Amino acid sequence: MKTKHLLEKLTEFLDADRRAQLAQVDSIEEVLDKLEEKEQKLLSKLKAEPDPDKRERLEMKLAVCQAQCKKGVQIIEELLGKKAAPGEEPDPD
Amino acid sequence: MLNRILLPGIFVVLAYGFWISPEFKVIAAGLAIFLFGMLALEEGFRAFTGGTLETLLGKATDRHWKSIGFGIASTTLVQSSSLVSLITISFLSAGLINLAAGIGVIFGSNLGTTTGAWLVAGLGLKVKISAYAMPLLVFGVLLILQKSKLLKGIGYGLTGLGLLFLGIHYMKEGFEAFRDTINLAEYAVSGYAGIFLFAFIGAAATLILQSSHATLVLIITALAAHQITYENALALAIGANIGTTVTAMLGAISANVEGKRLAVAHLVFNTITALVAIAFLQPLLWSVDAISAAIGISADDYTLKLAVFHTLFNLIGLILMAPFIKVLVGLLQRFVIIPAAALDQPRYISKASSEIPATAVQSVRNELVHLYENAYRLISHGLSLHRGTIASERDLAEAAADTHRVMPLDIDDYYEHYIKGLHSAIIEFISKAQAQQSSEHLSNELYALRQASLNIVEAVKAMKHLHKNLCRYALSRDPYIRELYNEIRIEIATVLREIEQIREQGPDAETILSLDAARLGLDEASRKLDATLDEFIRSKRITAQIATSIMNDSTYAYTIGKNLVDMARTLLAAREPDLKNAEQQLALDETDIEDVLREDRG
Repeated sequence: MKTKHLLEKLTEFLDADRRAQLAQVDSIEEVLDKLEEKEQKLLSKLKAEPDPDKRERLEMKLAVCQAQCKKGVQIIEELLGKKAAPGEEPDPD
Repeated sequence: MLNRILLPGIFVVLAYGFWISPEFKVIAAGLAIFLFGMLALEEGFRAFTGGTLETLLGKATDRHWKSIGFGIASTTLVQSSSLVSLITISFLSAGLINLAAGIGVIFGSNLGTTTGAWLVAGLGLKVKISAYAMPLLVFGVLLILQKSKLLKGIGYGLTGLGLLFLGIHYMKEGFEAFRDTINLAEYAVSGYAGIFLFAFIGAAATLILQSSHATLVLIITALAAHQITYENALALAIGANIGTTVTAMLGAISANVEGKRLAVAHLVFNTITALVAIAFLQPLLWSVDAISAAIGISADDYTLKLAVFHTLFNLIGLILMAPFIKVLVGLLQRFVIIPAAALDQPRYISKASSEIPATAVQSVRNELVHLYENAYRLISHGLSLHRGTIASERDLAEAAADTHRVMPLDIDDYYEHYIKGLHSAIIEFISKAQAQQSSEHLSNELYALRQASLNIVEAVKAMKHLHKNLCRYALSRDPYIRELYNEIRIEIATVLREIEQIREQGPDAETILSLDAARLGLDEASRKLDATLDEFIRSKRITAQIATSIMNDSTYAYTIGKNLVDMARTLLAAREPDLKNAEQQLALDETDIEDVLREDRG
């Protein structure tokens, strides 16, 4: 993820009011949960798939899913790390 | 359903007719040639669109008086109002002139056609258009075989004109038997009953002979031979004016809605003119006598007086109707429309729903799903794959390899009926709804949905281009060409399958994010296709010529896939705003996709 892009996200986050910020984090976490679930499904499908072409496709989907998860975690870490309220811990997810 | 019964029914009737009557066969063949001529003429005019012909025609018809003058001059020149009407319908169908200009030309041609009566009655001359048919066809076909688009266009124009002449010639030939049996003297009737009866006969005779000129020749010769009375001859001439509109009606069968409107305008003009002439017959006759005396026509020269009458009543019609061209255009646009049943109608957007912001957005969303479903059907059939196969778990490579026939699909017709109208309705609705939205958020939503509608249309248009070669090569005997086209088919079908799977999962799934994989898959498939193509060119398995066609088609396939993915991002996004926002943040952009691709290859 590019720094410029992250900075844009950060500015957007800083401009929003506290409640909205938390709601935003919650939403990202909700999506991350779904992605994690999807990742598990893809992994189990990959295990059972003997066809190389289909495996390749599943691997690609898995790579995309992992990239999205990584991006999500990175956004949460960056945002909460910079703007965490006193006494509030960043979500370990 | 009706077509399934009607068409075989027509075939049976025609076959029976051909069997029992050789004349009928000639007439039907004449009609077929005539209609084919119309199509060729349109094809020819299309070659000139976007250039000088529009400028020329535009300038010749940009004022009512100019278009009327153009109609008079052209009809005088070719001596056939039917032909001028047909050519005008072709101009209109090809979008070279507008409806108002077309109506002006038709009005003018009605006056121009009266010069024929003067020629026949006064000089005994008549330009025989059928004599030009053969050379026109020979020159036309030779030009069609040329490479230049301009020459091809001229070739199609000449061939079309030749076929029209030939068609009319055959129809006349076929009706010779009818003409011999029409003995006008048998029907001499006086008074208004006679006028209506003879007007009807005139119309019927023109309908049969497919030329008001031929009817006028009959009338003038019959009048000269005292077979009919002067009064009945006038009524026949009035009827001939109505009968001639049928030729334009026949021509409009293959024309678009504008062409049909023009044919109706022709009918309206000629019917009103005829009714006025019948209603004011006596004053008209006095005027004819006065004009004839003034220009030196003797009182008993009824044939020339008939020519005066013919000109006078068409001139009156023109003077009466010309100021109402705009009104007529408005009425025709309102009442002559493609039958609603033939076009797929919007199901969710309505006037009422555009006024309530939330319903407006939801209605557009639902309508877009409707539009997408139509596009999905078109694209899958264009790929010769059933939607059931795409939505199933079946291996797409296997399904593509297993194709034994190209699915019949009139893609232009389907686009007209199921895509274009719906897309236009959505765009119109969004424009209206946006004017009433105060909320920026809803306005943005509508803008995104508008873009999604455009994405669907772009995908369909790319499919239209791709379809031509898919029909030719999808079942090619050359295994390498077939393999490449199968890859293209699989590439698009995979995107469709991904979208269908997301739609099945419903709004709770991480919808937009799944599309990243579809997009990445598309990039990968496109890259692989290029690699295979390069390998095939290097190993001389395919010619460079076919390779360039496949490269173009690969671009179309990518355009289809990309537009479908972009559409789905808007249409299938989560409904809940926070969740939608979160998904958008996690979605991979171009750089992220590049990174994943790089890692994947590494």
